[in-house]
This record gives sequence, C-alpha cells and structure tokens, in this order.
Amino acid sequence: MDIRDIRTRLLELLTTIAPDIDAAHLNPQRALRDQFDFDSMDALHFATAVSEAFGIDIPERDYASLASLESAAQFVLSHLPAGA
Amino acid sequence: MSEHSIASRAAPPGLSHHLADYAAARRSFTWEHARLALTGGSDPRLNIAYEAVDRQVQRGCGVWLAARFIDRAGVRVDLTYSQLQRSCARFANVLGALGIGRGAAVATLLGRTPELFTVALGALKAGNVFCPLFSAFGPEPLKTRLMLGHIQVLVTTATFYRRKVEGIRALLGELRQVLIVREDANEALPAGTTDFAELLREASELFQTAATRDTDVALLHFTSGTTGMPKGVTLTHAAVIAQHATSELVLDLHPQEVYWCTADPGWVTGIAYGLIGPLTCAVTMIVDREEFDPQRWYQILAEEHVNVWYTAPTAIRMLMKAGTELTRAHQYPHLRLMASVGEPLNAEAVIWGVQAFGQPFHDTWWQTETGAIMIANFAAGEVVAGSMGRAVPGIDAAVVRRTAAGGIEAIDSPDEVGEIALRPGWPSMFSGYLDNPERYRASFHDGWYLAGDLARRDREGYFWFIGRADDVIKSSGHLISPFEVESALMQHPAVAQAAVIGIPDPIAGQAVKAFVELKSGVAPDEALRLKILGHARHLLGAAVAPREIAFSQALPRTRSGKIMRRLLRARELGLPEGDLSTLEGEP
Repeated sequence: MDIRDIRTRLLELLTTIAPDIDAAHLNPQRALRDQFDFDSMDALHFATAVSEAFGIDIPERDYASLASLESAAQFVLSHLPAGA
Repeated sequence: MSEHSIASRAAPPGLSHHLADYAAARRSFTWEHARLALTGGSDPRLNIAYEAVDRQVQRGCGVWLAARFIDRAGVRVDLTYSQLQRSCARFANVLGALGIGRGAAVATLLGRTPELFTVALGALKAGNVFCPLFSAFGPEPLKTRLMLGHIQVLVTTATFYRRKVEGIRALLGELRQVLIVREDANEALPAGTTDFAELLREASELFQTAATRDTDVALLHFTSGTTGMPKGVTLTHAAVIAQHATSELVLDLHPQEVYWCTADPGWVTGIAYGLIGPLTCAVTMIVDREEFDPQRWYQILAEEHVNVWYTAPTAIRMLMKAGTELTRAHQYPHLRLMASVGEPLNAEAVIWGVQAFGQPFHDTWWQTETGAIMIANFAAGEVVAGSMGRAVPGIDAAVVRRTAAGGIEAIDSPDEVGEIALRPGWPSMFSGYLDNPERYRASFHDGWYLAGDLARRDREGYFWFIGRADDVIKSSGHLISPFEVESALMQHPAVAQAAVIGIPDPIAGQAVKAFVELKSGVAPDEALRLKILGHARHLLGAAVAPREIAFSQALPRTRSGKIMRRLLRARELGLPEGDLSTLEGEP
C-alpha cells in the first residue's frame, strides 16, 4: 500500500464520520478541526476507524499525529506492518 | 462512612478550607449573610460585573492577574483585574454609542478569548443581558437561539460568521449589530459587520456601572428540553451571590490561587465558574484556547501551578484512556482540588484520580436552571466515589415522588428512587424561561422546583444519580434536545420521520443516535445514510448532530401517532419494553 492508497482510504474514513466535509476544499496540510466542524469526539472516532482499517495500534499520545490528512497519512505509512 | 469514601487532599499549610465542617456550615449559612459577605454592605444595587472585576480593583488588587490565556503555540496573554476593568468599561461605552438600550441582549459566538471576557462583563456592567452561544453549534440551532433570545448584538469571528451566521442573517430582524473580532489584522470584514477592536479603541475606559438590582435579568442561557424549542433560562444579577458562595464553599477558591475551568464558555459552567464566580474570589484563571489534548493539559496543570481544577467526566475519561504514564510525565505539587461537572462521574473515574494524581475527583451537580452548584462532594473531608455529593449549605434538596392525588411529597426513607427537587429561594434560581411563563410555572410543584433528574439519597445524605426523568440526551456534558435533532433530520427531502435517542458511550456518557423513516419509494442505502448524516451535521454542528443513523421501516408510535423514543431506547439497550398497550407500528 503506497501513500496515495493511504490518502484515499483516509479520506473515505473521514467522510464516513463527517460527510459534511467538503473534500474538494480540504487542505491536507491543515488541521481538520481548523477547516471543518470536526470536534474531539469526531477525532476519537477517526482514530478508532484508522486503527481498525489499517490494523495498527494507535495509542492516545499519537492522536495528535492524526490532526491533518497528510500527517495522518504519514503516520499510517510509518506504522503499517511490513508487507501490508 | 461508606466503603466508597476516599480522603480528599489535606489543605496546604497556611490555607484553611472555606467549608471545613459540613454540619456546622449547613447550620450557620444564610443567603443574607452570603450577600453581605460578597458586597460588604446593604446597598440595594447589585451588578455581576462590578462584583467580579471592579470590586477587586477597588480593594487594591487591580494588578493581580485575572486571567492567563494560552494559545495553540503556547503563547501566554495575561490580563490583570485593572486591564479587564478598562476593557469592560470600553465595551459598555460601545454599546451606548451604538444605541443599544439597557436590558437588550448581547450574545457571543466565540471561543475562550479575552474578548469574550470583555463582552460578557462589559454588557453586564452596562445593564444589558449577556447570552453566550456555543461555538460548535451549526446555523440551525444558532438561528433558533438568536431569534428566541431577541439578540440585538452578536460578537463573533469572521470565520464563525461566514460559516454559520451569514446565511441566516436576513431572518434575524432584531439583530442590529454584528461585531467581528479579527483573528488577524489583515482579515477582511464580512459585509454588514463592524470591527470590534476599532470600536473598543475609540471608546472611553470610564463607565459608571448600571444601577442594577438583584431581580434584574443578567444572563440568558439556552438549554434543551424534550419537546419544543430550546428554553431560554434567565438568571438575575443575584446569581453572583450563589456563584461566589459556591466558588468558595465547593471549589474552595482563595485569592490569587491559580484556577482552571475547562468548560466551554457557550454553556452555563463556562460563565458561572469559568468567569463570574472565580473572579469574585480574586483568583487567576487559566484559559486554554485550544481543544482537549492530554499532553497539553498535563503540561498546563504542571507548568501553570494550577491549584484548583474544574473539569468534566468526558475529559477525565479521555485522560484515563490515555493512561497514567502520561500523567506521570509531570508532577503536580500545587494541585490541591480536582472537581467535575456535566454529568455523573463514575466511581472508576473518581478512583482513577487517586492513582494518577494522588487525590480523588470531587463530583458536583447542578443545572442551568439552578444557576450554581447545588449538590457536591466538598474539598474538606471525604469524597464518596460515584455519588453526586450532599446539598450545598443554603440549599434544601430532596428526592420526591408524585402522590396519587397529584401532589409532591419528599421521600424520607433512604435509597428510594425519586426525582431531585429543590426548595425555591436561593439567589441563582432561574427567574424564568424567556417568553414562556407557563413552562416556568410547570417546573414548580407544591413548593418544589423539580429538576428532571432521578436519584436516590443514602442514609448519610449523599445523592446518587439514576437517570433523566425525560428523553433529553446528555452528550459530553451538553444537553441535547431530541426534538431539535429530529426537526433538522426531517428537513432532509428523503426523510419522512425521525426519532432520536441517547445511547451509552464510554467517553461522552451518551451519544446521539437517530432512527430515520424514509419517504415511500426512497431506497435506504449507505450513500443516502451519509447524505443525511452530512445534512444533519451541516445544520446542527458536530456536537449536536447524530453520530449514528439507522434506517427504520416504521418507527414505533403510540395510537395517537407520537413516536415512542423510550421503546427505541429499550430495544437498543436490550431492556424490557414495558407497557406496549398503546403501541402501533413495528411488531
């Protein structure tokens, strides 16, 4: 799985939790909560969804890494099990 | 004492608890004394802003820090009592210059900013009514509240304005002024708005506080009921007496202590204990402008030498989830009291406080209508884990039941479940539901205010929360009206009917779940589900919208056509469904 696949999958997860997010205007570098109405419960659900979708363990202290789409993609890429 | 009781942290040397002996305090406390202790005299004038700010300056404490605001990058902005006094006077003058009459309502749609302090206290100083709005609300709840509240002035940011207000502005006939707090100097002002900072700069910093009385309305807080529109709860200037007394008796605040209330200023806690009460105690408030983040919170507690911390169960449960390893990255030698409000704090969370911080969380109970803490675990003595605590001095609280004759009677035997009721007469008791005197009258029966929460009281006088007596949902400490969410869902063209309930959530307490019945001929599929969810979030905001939507072919209804939320909840939770004799609809 390369970074583009990861980004696509992350965007799917994100718009399942918050379908009101306008993907066309999403700035991947900026924190999600600065661009959209995305609250801490959404962030928690996003972390859980990412963890389940990619089969990676995300401890609470790493939740900050999921703040923007790009930082989340980089986080997933560096934590994917080998061969995934 | 109960097996659940845990010792509080002892008072540090040189400091004595405001309430050291519960029984003695209950015997000696009177609200007349409390008013006198606050104001120092029998002047019939009483003004919240004066008691919160001017009084401290008058006492010679003007150079003390009233608040320290911390932004995302960790930059601190300090505000002294004198500075706050001047900015409030300026805003009071701005209102006059704009021709806003005394008693008119001024609202904020802001995060935790210095401007919020200026607007809230400046409006109160001028004799206006202050109404905080929750910045996570979407356009629909905002429209309802701005209209119902007869809001004449709104202070907000350009981002919030464009996202949530611009589209509904034409409907707000009573809204005369929108003042914009610029987030950066180069930001363009939206059409039809005025620059807040510029108005403030031009105004005088001298203002004679309006000669308000105890009975004059000061605050307008919106809260949610099961049916109908949100309720505009009004509190008078006398609320400051109870907010000050409880800031001492429960939060045990002493002058110049460092105090951190994490509540959002859009709700009553963020104003009563995130602004008014603590300032009357001349403390320094820590105001974190960021959203919840465990590492950041621990760092603030440690680095700012926080003495007293008032937070909420959802945040505590998130900290628990993050683990004590993070807690232990810092030390908290200054932290001496941790309290919680918003929803019942489970015993595990209270006990976790001991593991993580060496002291328990103190649960407290109150609601918008009570205007101040009514039931609490106190700083001195012991916390009973899982209990809401005991009645505050000056408060007559009971568990009551309805009699066969339609009256109300107090339950004397311990541990019997009934509704929490309070004897009217405390100064922060709500003075009305705006424009709805019948609903106000209906909150009182046989000389009791009925709170709508079910509880039992044990032999020692500790209250234990059981549940709500109605269908109101409490999520992350916020009351959410199922009616308001259902109305928004039904605005979607594919939706015929909607029913909304609260389902248990390990972090938020309850989460909003919606059952949606589609119009005939509309096929339920995942794409439509997401569209409806997006629609609800867009109208209501993330904090109020459902987190989950399920399709239902026919929602259970009574014979009169009323949707039975209670039955949906019972099915969802696998509980007994009760009496179904009036039911129609799904088998």
